[in-house]
Amino acid sequence: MSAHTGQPVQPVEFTPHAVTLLRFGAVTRNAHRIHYDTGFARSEGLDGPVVMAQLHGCLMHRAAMTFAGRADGSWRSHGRTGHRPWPGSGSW
Amino acid sequence: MSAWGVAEERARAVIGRPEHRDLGVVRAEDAAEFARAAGETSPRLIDPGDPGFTVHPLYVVSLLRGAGGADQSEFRPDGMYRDEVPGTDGLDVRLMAGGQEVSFTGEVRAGDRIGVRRVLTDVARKGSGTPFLLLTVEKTYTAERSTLARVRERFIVR
Repeated sequence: MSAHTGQPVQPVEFTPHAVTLLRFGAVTRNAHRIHYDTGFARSEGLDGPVVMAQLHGCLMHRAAMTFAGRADGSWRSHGRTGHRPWPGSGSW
Repeated sequence: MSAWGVAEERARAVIGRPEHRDLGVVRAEDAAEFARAAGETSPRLIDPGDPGFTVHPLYVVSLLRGAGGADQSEFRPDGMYRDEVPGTDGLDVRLMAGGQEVSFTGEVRAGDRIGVRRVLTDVARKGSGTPFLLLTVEKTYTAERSTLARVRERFIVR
């Protein structure tokens, strides 16, 4: 495929909920309480439980694969940065 | 010295010192469960019986431990692993992941035994108001046949 700087990438719509984070934390063996314990997350200065950076990465992967027209294909590399969206906050 | 200061001193003392971790053998069923938890629906990612099944490329680099899990004694009160953030074991400090950069160099396959080499490469003081430490850890994921991925991840210590 051809691609150029500035070419739009279709957004991925995904609304994480508490169960989403619990499942994702379980399969990655991530027990950090900021991902499921609302009281603890707030004590850390956050608005609520936070989505794991790795789950962000999965959404970026999906967006990239869709952009490339290879929804299930392999790819070479990517970068990502942690953010603070909350469960139920809407699209990514 | 504050817990924050102790963490900085400890971390600086281990810059460049490699650690090794065994994540065990990749099972197709576990990789498929990971893909489902991430909201994937393609049979190639969620059905190990699909002829074109592939391990989700982010599965292995997202794993914090292998299938054996961990004992209670390996956790901090905040649920993080005691050895996850260099220099912070046993200290009353706040920890948070600060982002990752991932470069893939090989395809992960079911049956691969995954090893990880971790090295703390940088400790920096950040923040103009409330200061925090930004630790940079570089990880190399390997299977017997090749290097699979390189990850640079950052941790915030407050």
